[in-house]
Amino acid sequence: MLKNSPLVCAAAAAAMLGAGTAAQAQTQVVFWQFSTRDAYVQAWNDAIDAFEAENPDIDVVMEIVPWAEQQQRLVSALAAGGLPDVSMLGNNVVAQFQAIGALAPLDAYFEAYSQAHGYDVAADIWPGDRGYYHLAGQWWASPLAVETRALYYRRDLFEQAGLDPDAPPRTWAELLDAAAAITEATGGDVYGWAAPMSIDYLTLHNFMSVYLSHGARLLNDDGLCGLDTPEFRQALDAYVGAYGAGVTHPDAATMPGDEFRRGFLDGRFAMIVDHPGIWADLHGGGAPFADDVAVAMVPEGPEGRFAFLGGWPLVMWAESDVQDAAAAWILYATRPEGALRELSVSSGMIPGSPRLAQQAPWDDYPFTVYVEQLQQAYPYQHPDEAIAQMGQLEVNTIQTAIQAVALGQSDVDGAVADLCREIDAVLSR
Amino acid sequence: MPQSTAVAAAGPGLADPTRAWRRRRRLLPYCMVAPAVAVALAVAVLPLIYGLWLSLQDWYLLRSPTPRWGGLGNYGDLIRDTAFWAAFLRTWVWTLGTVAVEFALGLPLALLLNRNTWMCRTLSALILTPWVTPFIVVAYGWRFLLDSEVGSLHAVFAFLGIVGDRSILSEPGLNLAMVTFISGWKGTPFMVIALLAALKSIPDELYEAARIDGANAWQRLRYITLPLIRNTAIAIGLVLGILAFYSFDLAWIMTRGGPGDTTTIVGIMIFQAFFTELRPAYAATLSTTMLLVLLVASWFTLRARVEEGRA
Repeated sequence: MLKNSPLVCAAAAAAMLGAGTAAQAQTQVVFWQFSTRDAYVQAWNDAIDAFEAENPDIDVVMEIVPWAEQQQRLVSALAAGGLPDVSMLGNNVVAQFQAIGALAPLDAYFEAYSQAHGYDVAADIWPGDRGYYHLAGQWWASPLAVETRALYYRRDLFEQAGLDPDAPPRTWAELLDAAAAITEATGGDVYGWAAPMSIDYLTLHNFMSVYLSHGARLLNDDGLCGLDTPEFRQALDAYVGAYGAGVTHPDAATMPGDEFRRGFLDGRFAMIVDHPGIWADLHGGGAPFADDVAVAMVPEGPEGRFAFLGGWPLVMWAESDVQDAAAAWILYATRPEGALRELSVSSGMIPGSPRLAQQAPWDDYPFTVYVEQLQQAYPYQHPDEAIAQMGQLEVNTIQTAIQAVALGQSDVDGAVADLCREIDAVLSR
Repeated sequence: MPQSTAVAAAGPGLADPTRAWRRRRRLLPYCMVAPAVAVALAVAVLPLIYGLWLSLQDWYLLRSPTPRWGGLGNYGDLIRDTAFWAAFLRTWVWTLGTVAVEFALGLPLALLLNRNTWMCRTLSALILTPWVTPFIVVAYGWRFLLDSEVGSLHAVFAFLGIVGDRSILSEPGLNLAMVTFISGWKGTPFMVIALLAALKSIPDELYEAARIDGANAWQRLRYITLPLIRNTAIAIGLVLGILAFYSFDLAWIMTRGGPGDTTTIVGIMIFQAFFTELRPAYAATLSTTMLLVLLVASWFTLRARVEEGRA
């Protein structure tokens, strides 16, 4: 044995070198994934395994960057270097990174994939997503998940308040009336509506449905702040009215968004406008009232129904020097022929492919409500095109105005004046 | 034979090696500290220089992926930025308030623990708990205490009529005071430990002599304890003040700078300028300005300490 040791060592070294050469021959695709939910992470690991089995020359390296940190990580990497090849991205900031030339276009890859699979990829994207991802005549992102909001309401509490549990509020005014009735009927133990007024994305996700349905527009025809209108003032007054009427939590102006969700799951709120993932949380978490919860369309305003359009795509960063491999991974993860179905099921969201969304489980309640709602889901700046500054506007301006009015720091007129001044300052930088 | 005699006996030819040895000996300490100085330059001075350089650039990420020379433009913007001046004032309130709370809580605790008993030794260790607890834990713990529904502290404040239905964190005017108090509470253990060390260095004979002279407890505190711990208090106050001045995490986790901008301190402004507004150069301008202000403030503080030492 010892006599053969040099030979064995040489063989082992050769094998290691061979393995090393094989590993070096692989193209490595660095992928930033933003979810920390175990089931979703596992689904991504499974998708990577399946993709690598089909593409042995590509090695996908997934790094988990939590949603809460992704903006900091991306901006830091943009300024100092170190961007990945592929990443998730919030749909509202695709235009921002596209505007500075940080993203690579996907048109050629969409076209090749369409030819190979016999259907038009661009035609199998939700109409609302087109406004986010098709900019300056090119595709910059491939949608992974799309989301909109629907109204969750407690039928048992509706009955307790003498309301018809089969007739959910159709308008924002009816929603406020129902919330007031439930708050009163429960003696304040349950707040009628989880209406966020704090500096949190959930606030704007709720409020944009209100201002668009009142006929307000974020931008005017000159591309400047379009919110200094009676329609927007009316919408702001109506939304913040929930706080003044005491039908939401007293700390609604400072509570993080997650606390509203937890509050609904804990039975502290009778209604919440939220994404489909909360349905799984309700039934998986064993809430005693889970079977009493129903889902309805988002209420409408004087100008109709406008739901929030959220979601996240995969993007390819322009710095990537393995763009072909990166695009192959993007299309595998975001197309029904690849891993999109499993990824969507595990996330509890609607897939970015309308064709896939017609199939199970999205053809079953409550997803059917969301799929229908998606026909009336729009970006914040509807009917205008996506703007690069949207990420800044949604955080620091509109939410601040809502909070200021709710807490009495400003009246509606003053808040709107400040809001437009700030929006115009951002747009003019 | 003494070394000097040996060198002299060896003749002038051997004098040079001795000088070389002496020169090497003089250089040796510099060589020993050189790696540390190099590391300090790399991790402290170079980033400062980079920050200063960045503050002189015109760099808005949505307009340009790379920085361009902008001269003093950012400093002009800063002078005209009313939000900055409001945040600057709040930062001083926060900093001085934090140090005041630390001293107000720290001194009585240090006096209480300045006894050589088992209980005091144990408590001296336990008192470090807030200092070593991560900000995220402290912030959420206090948020829970101040919650308008279940917070026990909120119930006390409501009973005293300080707040109504909503949490003190939602009350403009009171929220900054509350978060400042929490900041001071977290830093108190550091002050206690430092003051305790200073108290233990005061000779007992001084107190005995004062007692013989008829000094009461207040007079002993006023004329012996406070003067003798003053330098320590100033030095530790300066360190804790610098930490508070650059603070970001506690205020951010507890209030995100709001409601409105009522708890927005400059640290939060820097974060927002870079990550939300995508203006790295303006963020660097804010940081550089903070550094300059802090240098001046530190110089005045240390000068007071030195003068006291001379006195």
